Amino acid sequence: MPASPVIVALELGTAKVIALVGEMREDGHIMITGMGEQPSRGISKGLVVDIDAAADATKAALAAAEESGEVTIRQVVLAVSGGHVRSDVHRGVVPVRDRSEITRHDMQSVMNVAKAVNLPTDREVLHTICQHYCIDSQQRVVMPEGMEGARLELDMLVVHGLRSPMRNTIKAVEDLMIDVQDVVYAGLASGLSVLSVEQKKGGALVIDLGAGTTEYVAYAGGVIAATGALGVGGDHVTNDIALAFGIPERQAERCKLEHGGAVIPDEAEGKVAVAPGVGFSGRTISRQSLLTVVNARVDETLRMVRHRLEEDKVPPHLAAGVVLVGGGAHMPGVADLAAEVFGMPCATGRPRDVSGLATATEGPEYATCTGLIQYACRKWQNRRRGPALTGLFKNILKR
Amino acid sequence: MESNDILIVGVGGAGGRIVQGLVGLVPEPLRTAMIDTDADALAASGCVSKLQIGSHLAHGKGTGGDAGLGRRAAGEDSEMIRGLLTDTRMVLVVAGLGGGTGSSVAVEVLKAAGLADIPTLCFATLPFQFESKGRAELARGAVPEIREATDGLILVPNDKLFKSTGKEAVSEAFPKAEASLGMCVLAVWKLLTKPGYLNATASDLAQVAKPERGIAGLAWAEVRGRRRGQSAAKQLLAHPMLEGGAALADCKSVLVSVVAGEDLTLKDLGDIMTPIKAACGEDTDVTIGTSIDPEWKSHLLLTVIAARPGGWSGVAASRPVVEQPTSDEPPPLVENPNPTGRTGVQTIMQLEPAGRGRFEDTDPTLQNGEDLDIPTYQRRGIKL
Repeated sequence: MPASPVIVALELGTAKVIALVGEMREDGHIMITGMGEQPSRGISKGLVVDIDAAADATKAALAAAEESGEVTIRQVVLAVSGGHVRSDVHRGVVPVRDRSEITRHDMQSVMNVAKAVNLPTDREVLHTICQHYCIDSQQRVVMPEGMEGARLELDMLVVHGLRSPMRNTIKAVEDLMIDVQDVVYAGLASGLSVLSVEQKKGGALVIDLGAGTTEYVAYAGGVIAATGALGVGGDHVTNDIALAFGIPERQAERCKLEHGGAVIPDEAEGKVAVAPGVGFSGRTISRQSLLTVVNARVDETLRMVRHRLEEDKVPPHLAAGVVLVGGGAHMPGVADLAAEVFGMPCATGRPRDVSGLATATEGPEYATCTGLIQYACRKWQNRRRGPALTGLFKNILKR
Repeated sequence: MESNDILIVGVGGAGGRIVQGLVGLVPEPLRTAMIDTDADALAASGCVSKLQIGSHLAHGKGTGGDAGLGRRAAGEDSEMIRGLLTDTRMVLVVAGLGGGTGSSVAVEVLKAAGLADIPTLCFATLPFQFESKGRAELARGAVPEIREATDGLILVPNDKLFKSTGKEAVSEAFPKAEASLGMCVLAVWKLLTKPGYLNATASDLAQVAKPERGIAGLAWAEVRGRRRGQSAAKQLLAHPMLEGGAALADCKSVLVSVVAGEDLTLKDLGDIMTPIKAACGEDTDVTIGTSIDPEWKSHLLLTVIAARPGGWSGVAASRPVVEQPTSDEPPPLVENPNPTGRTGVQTIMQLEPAGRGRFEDTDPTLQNGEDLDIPTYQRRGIKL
């Protein structure tokens, strides 16, 4: 397998803008050669609210990545997110043309039918992902070509989001004269980065606990069963703490990072000191109350994800359990809480098959960006092999 | 508007009972309807139209507090609900929130009316404090959706509907609360159908109760005999909802309605309006409407519907009040917003808390009618 060209992944997160430089080696391994990171500005709940500020932060992150990776960045693969992203399954049905054997032509036409979705005018399709085919009454056929049947059906997962917020994210990058070569939904990239083939086959749920948004992607039987996002994240935890105890946001954030936790242990007694700051003389708050506030929010967020999955009819038990990524995965107790909410084992995810810069390959908060690089590398390989029949995501996300 | 143009719909057990209580209070025929999942409750009702919804889902047994079931039931029989609304120019929906039917079906009725371009006004009660937390949460969850669906929402906690002596038996408290709300619905109905010389129209009502103005609450007083004006105003300002009249001070707009007989004098109106205006703030926009009914000789019903942007105590209290230490001791470093251990002011019913903090200027993150930017502990009513 030849090495891929250098790929730059960019994520405009609510807390941080991250740019990773990497490439795929001959053995299929991803090597991260450079990275740049910058606190975000002008982004709230995953959406660009001040395009100039967002572009400035992006510029700084890209500049740092250029320096550390010793490259000149002209184009990037961009992650988009936001609480507006949802997925639906659309079923396309076509009669088989030549009554006996299903041909590539039939597969193509059923795909076109399934792809033709009617979205509200303010929404745009991000990805169309093939789930499985059905021939007559035979469910879950992986490769129908050459099989016999009268009717061919295809379940297609359509990932879509609101047009203008996604366009604004792209625009913030393009304003810097950087070419956006591909746009990938952040939730899918995270799943791509942390799950193994076995986990996807057994079924797994990846939850990306970001600062502004919480993305999820559920795999069942080797295909993506559902994905989407909620417009709540770690910033909400901070905000809840600030409002609950009447302390400034900066102190609330520190309190969350140093003393926060998703579960309330029985011996959660004692007090937590909040350091003084500008216009704030400091105080102490009860540890029990702090954990109560944090637990309420995280618990609610996870339950909303569970509710979404129930709505999308994802099987309630996924053998490989829950995998947490994103900055929120660092919170003590969050895996225990998720295990309780979903009734499945839960672990923190790390980017797989990645080496190079230690920070970028180990932290759950880099899952999205490493996933972007994997996505782009695989796409590049597929192109070299010739046009993929069933669309990019089938090939990539199933592996 | 003719009496036939206005449809009064009671939804769920409490709503149905309130509307049922109106039948017979006025000589002219009221157009009333009751919608419920519970066949027995419907059978006992004297409403003109009765609609049993979800007979396949609930089997005529009520929802047992399952709002989802109520919603599905309304969806199943949406055709029947729409049919009920034909030839109607205004719909007054009355519901007791907290049960499975009232909390969910009221929204569906309001939506159906909205689709048919019929103006709506919704009277809703919140459960008593002593009722279960589940009911309180269900009621609280229903409010944002109702606000979305109606032209005007008037929301009153059961505790505030009448002046409690604290000695009522539970069996008295519910009928008393229901009768109180019934009086107010009747006052509105009269205002619309039997206008006096000072008219308040449906649009005046909608102005006061429209969701953007804050949450509308109501208070009422009923008096008979001499010096009606003075005693009515006094009683009204003592109404638990108005906190001794103090609540009126920060209301944006106030609609005063007077239902009385032909013997209503200008002095009576003056006696009513002077103390009310005095209690209102300077910028408060006060509208008066009268309804004269020859049958109401020496009888007067005074109601006030007011929009208070900050919400009402028991409906949307502000953040828990920090007790000021009274002694001379230096204040302890506060680790608990309530150092005296006194419970905060009705933390459970916060609908519009003090703020959304850093998300103040952003669009709300709405999910099933809940604004997720408001701290979870506040929405769930968790005491810290």
